[in-house]
Amino acid sequence: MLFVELRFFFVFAVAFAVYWSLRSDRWRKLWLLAVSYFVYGSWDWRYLLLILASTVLDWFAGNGAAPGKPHRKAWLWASLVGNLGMLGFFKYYNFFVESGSDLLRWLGFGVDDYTLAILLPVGISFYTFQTLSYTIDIYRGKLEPSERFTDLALFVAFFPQLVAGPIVRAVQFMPQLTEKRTWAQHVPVRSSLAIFLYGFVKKSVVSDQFAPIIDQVFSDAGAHDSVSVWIATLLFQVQVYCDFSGYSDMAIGLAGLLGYSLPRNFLFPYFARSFTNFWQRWHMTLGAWFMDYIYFPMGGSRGSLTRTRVNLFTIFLISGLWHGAAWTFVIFGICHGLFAVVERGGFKEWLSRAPLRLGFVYTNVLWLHTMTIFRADDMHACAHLFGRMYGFGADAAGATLSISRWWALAALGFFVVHAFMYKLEVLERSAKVPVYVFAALYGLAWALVIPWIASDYTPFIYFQF
Amino acid sequence: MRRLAPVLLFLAVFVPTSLLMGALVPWPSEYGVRSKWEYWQAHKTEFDAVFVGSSATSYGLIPPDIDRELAARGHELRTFNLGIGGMTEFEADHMVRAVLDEAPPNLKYLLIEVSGWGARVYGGKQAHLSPRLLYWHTPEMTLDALRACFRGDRPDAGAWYLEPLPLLWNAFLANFVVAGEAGPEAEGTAGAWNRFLAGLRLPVRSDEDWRLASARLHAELCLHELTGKGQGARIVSGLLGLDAAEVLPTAAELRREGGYIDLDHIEGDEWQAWRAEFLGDLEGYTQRVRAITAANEQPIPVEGHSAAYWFTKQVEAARAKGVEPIFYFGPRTASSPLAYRLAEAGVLPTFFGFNRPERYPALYRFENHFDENHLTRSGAEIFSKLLADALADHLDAERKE
Repeated sequence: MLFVELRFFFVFAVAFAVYWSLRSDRWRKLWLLAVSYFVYGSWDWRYLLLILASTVLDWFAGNGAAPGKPHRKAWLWASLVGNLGMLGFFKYYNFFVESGSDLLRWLGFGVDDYTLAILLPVGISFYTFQTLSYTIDIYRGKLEPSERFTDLALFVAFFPQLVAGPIVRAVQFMPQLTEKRTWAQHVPVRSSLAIFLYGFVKKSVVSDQFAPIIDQVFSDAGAHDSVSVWIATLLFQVQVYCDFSGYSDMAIGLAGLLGYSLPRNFLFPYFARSFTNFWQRWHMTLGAWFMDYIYFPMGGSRGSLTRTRVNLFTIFLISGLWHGAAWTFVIFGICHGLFAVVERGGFKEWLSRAPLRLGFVYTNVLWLHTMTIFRADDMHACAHLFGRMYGFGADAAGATLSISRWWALAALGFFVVHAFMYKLEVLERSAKVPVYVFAALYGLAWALVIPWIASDYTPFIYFQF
Repeated sequence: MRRLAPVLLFLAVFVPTSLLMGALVPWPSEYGVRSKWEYWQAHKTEFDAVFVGSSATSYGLIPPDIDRELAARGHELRTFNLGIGGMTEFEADHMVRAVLDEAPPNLKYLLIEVSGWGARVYGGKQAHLSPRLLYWHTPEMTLDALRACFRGDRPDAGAWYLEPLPLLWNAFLANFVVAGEAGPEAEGTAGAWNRFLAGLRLPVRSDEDWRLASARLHAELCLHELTGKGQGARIVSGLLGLDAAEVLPTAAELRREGGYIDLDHIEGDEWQAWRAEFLGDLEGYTQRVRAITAANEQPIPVEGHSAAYWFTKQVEAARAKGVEPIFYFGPRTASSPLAYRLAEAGVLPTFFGFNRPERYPALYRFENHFDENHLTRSGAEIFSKLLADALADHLDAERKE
């Protein structure tokens, strides 16, 4: 069930109405938990077994890992091994088995593939990181173990952000579950509604509209001319941002209407002037998670410059693999690790001061190329794409199809609108608009947006992660 | 009340603006829907009779020929062919209502091709969301389509049958980890265990009742139609007059042929493939034609039949506007026993059945057919003459009365 589907609007309307009509906070939370399981289970009921297993594991691990408890380190390890074990099995088993078999075959050993047809649960990478944060934060003494299993279950399964973030850490969310939510105190109505609409437009009007063109080109780059491939890569740059940040915005808006605050996940990343700055604006909650739970424990930037660079590179390598079990994601991570390494030590500062917005150009051009790797089906397809873009390789001839140049204009048009939103701080200002003016403008905006919704829904790109 | 005021204000702006957006969506530019409709609208006072129906009408009836035949029989009428290829029952009903809504005083006859009033929606998702399926989903038409969904016979889907017991472990094996060696065909303990589990069966229901799926789709399409969902580009191009003109038929062709489209000169691989398929199976065609006559004689109880409800409604709507409805069935290889029984029962006040090879053999000669259900120009000329004769007979009888 996607946030942009009509049926989701009905489900949310019912969930919202029942939620705020219940007086007891405990019943409200139980109701939200039931709705969360219903929404997640609507993808596939089998997913519920895993998320429940993960919750039960961390319920016991969290209680066992609290300061002062015996064997608390063992409980921490139990959580790490259990959660990462599930993630590893369901997401990475085939990748490692295939890669290992390929390597052994390359070395001359005769081996068979032992791959399995494994179901990849939607959003497993997201909720695994959330459950891990719960036990780790308790182990570190930053959080008390939850008194109620259902509170922990709601934290793990909270439907607005369950399948594609923002990744909410336990210290950010669990305290909200212990304080009764009230409409007057906890619901920023106008900003929640505005950010939901903004996310909806990004996903349903921009991303879904571009999707068929991008899929057509990326599925068979060899059949398209060079300009078409360039346009498709440009469109993908817009699509992936709108798709992912659109989901995050809608999640923040929905959670806000239920009285819960989620951290911001995007901050106009395409206006960054370096990759260091870019990653502080793109999928910010993942970056923060890696910083807190991996980078700082590794020593962060406290050691030598070389050590800091090694730490940064490691983080980006893991981040690449987090996105998916494929070599394209590993290469994507390596590229960004290298950018971070290069920028550390003065280049980043130079970029931020460079004339003619060189930092902006550098970031966006290289991002476009790494996103081409990210989007390619495999390394072979990736080579085809770059071959077509730069006119090399065996497939340089034979392109027959071309896509309309209007799509390039549409992508550029998006950047202009985006810049407008950024400079005028439209979202921030929405909360200050008088309530009746807001209501009228909101009605007008929805009526004008609906005709521009793409005729078909496409799943969120980040659901696969 | 004060809390609700912003919500009411939101609705007060949203609803009318959204309805306006929906109203601005132009009719689809496919198979001549829009060009024929706009031509008829612009010249409606010139025509005394209109044909509404599917491709059998669009590619089968030549209004200038019909007018000439009628004139020869002493009836000065001008007819127009509003038939559209692929027109479904409810879409045709929408066209009938649109014609009646705008009926000029001189419109005397509405000739409607008989259909089966099926509300099932076929085709993939893209077909579901096509402008063609969208434009007729007005609230009134949608309610009718919903009624038709649930007046339809209960389908076989929904019957109970037995399937393997979905034990948790079996589900895990089957759903999470489907390794080739873990299936029932595998050797050893795993295979034996899975064969055992597969042997345990529970009664379960089969797949979804199509009526629910179709009803849901009709309701969704109605919302799309009302709000213009996904139709932004068409709204803007319609407002600015930028939408591409339909390839067929052109205004000159409409003027010359009165809405008839000549398949002898149609272009497109799809059409040529259908023609080749027809010419490659003339033996099968002949057998199917032979079966029509007997099939037309089948007894069908019309009392309480859902189709009777729709036809009665259509007849009443036409008569309320002072227009006489006349129904017909074209020379297709399909039988139409229901139409004949409805005509005998008086539900269809006037009905011309042309799917009678024993009576109209020329209409079934394969040289007059483009494909199984469509006529060539020579076939259309014969069909037009026969229909004009039937209509003239009917008008003569009316005069006598």
